[in-house]
Amino acid sequence: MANYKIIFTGPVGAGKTTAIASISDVPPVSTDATASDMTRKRKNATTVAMDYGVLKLDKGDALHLYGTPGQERFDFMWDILTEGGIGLVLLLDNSRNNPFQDLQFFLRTFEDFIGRTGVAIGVTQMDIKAQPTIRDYRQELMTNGLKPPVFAVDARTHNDVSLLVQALLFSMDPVLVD
Amino acid sequence: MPDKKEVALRVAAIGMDQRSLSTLQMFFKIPCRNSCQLAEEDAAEVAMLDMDAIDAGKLFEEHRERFPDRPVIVLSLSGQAIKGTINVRKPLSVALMLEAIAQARKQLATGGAGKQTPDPVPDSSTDSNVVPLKQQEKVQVSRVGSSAAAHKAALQLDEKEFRSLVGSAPDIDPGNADQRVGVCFNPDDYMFGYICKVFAEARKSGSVIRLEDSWSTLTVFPGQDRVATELKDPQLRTVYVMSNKPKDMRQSILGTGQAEREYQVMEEKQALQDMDAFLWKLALWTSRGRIPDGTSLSIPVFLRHWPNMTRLLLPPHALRITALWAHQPHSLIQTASALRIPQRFVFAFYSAALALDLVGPCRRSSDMLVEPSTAASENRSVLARILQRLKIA
Repeated sequence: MANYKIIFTGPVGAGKTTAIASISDVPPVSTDATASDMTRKRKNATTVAMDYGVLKLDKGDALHLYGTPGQERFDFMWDILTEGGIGLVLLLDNSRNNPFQDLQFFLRTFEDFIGRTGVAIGVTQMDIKAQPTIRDYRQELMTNGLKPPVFAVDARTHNDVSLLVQALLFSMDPVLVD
Repeated sequence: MPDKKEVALRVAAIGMDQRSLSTLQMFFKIPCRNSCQLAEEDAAEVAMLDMDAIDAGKLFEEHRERFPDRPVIVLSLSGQAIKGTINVRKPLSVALMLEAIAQARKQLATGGAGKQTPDPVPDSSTDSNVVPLKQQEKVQVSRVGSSAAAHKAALQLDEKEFRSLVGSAPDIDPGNADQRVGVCFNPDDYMFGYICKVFAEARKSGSVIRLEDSWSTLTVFPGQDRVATELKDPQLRTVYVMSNKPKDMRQSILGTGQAEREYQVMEEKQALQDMDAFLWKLALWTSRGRIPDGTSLSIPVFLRHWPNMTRLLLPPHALRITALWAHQPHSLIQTASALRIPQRFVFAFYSAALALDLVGPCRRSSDMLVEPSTAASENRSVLARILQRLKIA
């Protein structure tokens, strides 16, 4: 039995827990706790350890879906989580004050991992705040010399999250047969 | 909501075929809660006519002559008022139909159409397309969010579904000039070409532009990246793809106040769409598996950016084509060959991506097929299995 994993990361409230739940085969294990301090401004509960979901593959294999904790003070876990991962899904909350700052922070933090694997970016809450647009994100990413998939995403929608993960997989290997 | 004690109004649907009658019967029975029912022409209290049907004018005159006092509900795409009738603009909605029925009852109570000129049903109240019941339920569900229509998730079409849009044209031999001509189209021969220019003009000037003809109205809001139309996709496809720019199409610029009011009204009606998503599907419909005139089949295509795929109508293999071009430029023919897919899918995707300026011809001479990295090859079976699993779920 082989195990694989994809990492979901992003700031507090970006929808990591929800996104994992929307494609997981089992009810996701979430370690949300009542938020305090700055985090409470974004959501009432935040993930303090990690989220976990799983997609069962054939032959008893499994794809594990790990969500990083949103709070930066838990970033010591990020290296551990990415170990052996096959790709990164970065979710950004468009309604935050400076989503580009978040984008750059996570790209820097996961730079090595992204370099070894790949990244797909989902922008959530675009119905709450339309700016910056997906075009703006593309331009921002060009400054990093990156051209990854960037989609508007509703983390509650299976199709959106599934498409984002599919794009991640294809971007790592375009000749994959679907 | 109709009064449950009220007796169903007997409606004669004049000149409609059996399919339309069946649809109307279901429409009257369920969404309209039996506020009216179909009846023979002689037994009816009210007549209903589709003015977009052939001979509708003649049928209307004949009916008027036989039953001069009978209220007549007139359905039309343009919503153009006909004196002495109750006008309902298509697409038909429950709200509009109930309002029309109420007006018809009022006319009957006061002695019929001949005795009173009815108030026309306001066009602006046109709501959602309700003809197929299942679709109506979906529309209602989608109204949870105010911008649900604008952010409708991508519809991923499989090859069978897509074939109904693009046909099943065989692959061509790129060396055969006649075959090459057969897969090309001139965007200016279609509304698509005109709409592209209007969108570009709106974006450049920042002006809200309205296009109107006797069939449809389209308003472009470049500031909000939205386009407003009350037509649903099947009607849009008919009106915009089958013809060139209509001769009676009028283009006007809306003032700030008018534009703001119009935007608000259209937002309430869930009639706003993303400009890119609109142009993308128009390009797909128009292309039907072809490419714009002048497109090279041999020059590699490079991808500027990934399309925002969660908000677009996706032809089969769209993700694979995008990923391939993001990885390394390939010509259209090479792309079909490398991915082992029919050329028409590549052509359709290219046409749509070109409309959004997401792709372009590559001036570099690289035309090698992509050589997957060792890491990718090692992971390939795993990635393919995950992919398969995601698509099944």
